[in-house]
Amino acid sequence: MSTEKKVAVAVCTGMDQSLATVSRYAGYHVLVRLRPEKTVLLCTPALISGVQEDVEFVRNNPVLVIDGCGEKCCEKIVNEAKGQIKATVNVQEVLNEHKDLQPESRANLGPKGVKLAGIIGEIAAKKVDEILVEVNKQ
Amino acid sequence: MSDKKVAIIACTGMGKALGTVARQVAYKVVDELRPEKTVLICIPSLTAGVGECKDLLQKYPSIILDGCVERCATKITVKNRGMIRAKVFLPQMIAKYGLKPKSRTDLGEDGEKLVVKVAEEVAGMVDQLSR
Repeated sequence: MSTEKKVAVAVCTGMDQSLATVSRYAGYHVLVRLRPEKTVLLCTPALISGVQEDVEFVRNNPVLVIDGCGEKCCEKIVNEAKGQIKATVNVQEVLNEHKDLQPESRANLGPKGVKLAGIIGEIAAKKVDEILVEVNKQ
Repeated sequence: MSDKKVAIIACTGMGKALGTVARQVAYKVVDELRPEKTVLICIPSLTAGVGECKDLLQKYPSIILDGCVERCATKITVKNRGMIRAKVFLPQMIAKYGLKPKSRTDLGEDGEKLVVKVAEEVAGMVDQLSR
């Protein structure tokens, strides 16, 4: 039986900015399409409200955080839950390098926003691989 | 000018399609149906102590949109001493309207219709609470 760990992907599920919606879709992109067998998607509200399954998962598995902006709320929330953050991706920082991919709105990303979420998903998938190489060495 | 606003707090969960429905309902109410009467509370900002979410939550009556039986939006609002005045439990809305969302990344036609129906219901609640 395999004892290999999975990476818990925690994303900003914020409501204010379209950057949060991008982070949400980037999380789904990693989990559903890019690394389904290597990741588990955390539910941030469940983690905040203390749902046992989510709390235990962040404490027992390496965590990749996808934050929307410079406030880094998701990182703070995972730290508060005593999660083991091994890597982070920040949507705002990636957007700064792809200024033409501005999302349409917080309710509808539009094609540019979806493309940005795809790029962030790819970056996150590479970080998942790197995390698992490190973790499995230990 | 009246300052009688209503705070909307939605489940922003990732695990189920109803988390996406809750989110889209909140945007429809706050951005389109009742923008002048509502404020949107961001659960991660509230928890991380960013911005004015906590002040708004404690200032205005709240409508909660919960996505599943864990009722995280309710728990988080209670923990932050919000004034809950109405709740919408989305699994009941599926049964009520007979409309089921397709997936968490694509609500599909029925899911989009469900968003509109629930948002209209929530807008009615906003009108009652903001009188």
